[in-house]
Amino acid sequence: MIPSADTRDAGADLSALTAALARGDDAAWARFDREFGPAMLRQLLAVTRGDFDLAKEAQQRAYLRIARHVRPCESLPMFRVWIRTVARTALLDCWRRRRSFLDLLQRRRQQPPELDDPAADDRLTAALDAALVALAPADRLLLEEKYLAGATVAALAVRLELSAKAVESRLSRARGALRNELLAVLARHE
Amino acid sequence: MSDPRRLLSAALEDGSGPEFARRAAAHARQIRRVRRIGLAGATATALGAVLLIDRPGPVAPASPPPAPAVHASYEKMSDAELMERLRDQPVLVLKDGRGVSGVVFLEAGSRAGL
Repeated sequence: MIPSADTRDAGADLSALTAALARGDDAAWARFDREFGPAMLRQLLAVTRGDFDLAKEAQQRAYLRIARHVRPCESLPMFRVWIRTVARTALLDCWRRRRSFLDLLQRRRQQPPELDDPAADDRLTAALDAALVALAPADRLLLEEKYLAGATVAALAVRLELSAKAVESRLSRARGALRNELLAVLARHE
Repeated sequence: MSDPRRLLSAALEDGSGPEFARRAAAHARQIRRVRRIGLAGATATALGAVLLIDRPGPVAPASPPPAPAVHASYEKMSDAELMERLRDQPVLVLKDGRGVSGVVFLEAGSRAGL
């Protein structure tokens, strides 16, 4: 099959990005973090069942591994699969390191995270729903308007009769509350 | 809920991602430097090895020149050889106070001169 012009452009764009990542270009890495970091963290958080510290540690280790091994790549699906594989391997390493310490403390064996758990994404989505329900109604509405309905901060400021800065502040607090609820829900379902 | 990923990402964002990205970039640059240095070192080593192999081996010390033949100014001969040489040969025997000091062979034709 002959690739379309868009596909070719996307491939060239990804090739340039991955080559810049290999060079250690700061702007490329900032873009990588924006475009691929959130999905990686979600995946890690779902697999670790809400262990935020472990997920972040694995994410940092995965970034370093990507920096070490990344090569120019033109296929986005292939690149995504590779990133997921690197993230899983990094998580397993972090888990093993932590397990040895926990084993020492608890004198019991820990089960490794199920890296290929197909229900992980569903579990994360369900946990998000439960966390949203547990939020204060005003916070939940604010987050849903901003992130699900796509309202701008300016529009929210007009509706709430607040300054944009005040809206940003409320959003920040609401995101923090949602994260705490989300991690609590995931931990309860462990 | 149509697409919860954006909300999830926003909730989970704690500001550490950009810092991870900066560290990864620095790590990538460091690895690149190390690889370059390693490559240069390997190239230099290979080049050195090639030059070492191609260089002519150490020159073997030259054998000492043959010693000039020493010709003795006299030679010893047996009595039989002496008698053989003296046959039909005029000889002048030189004497000093201690006895015979030398023998001089004279040309056969000079006998008349003696």
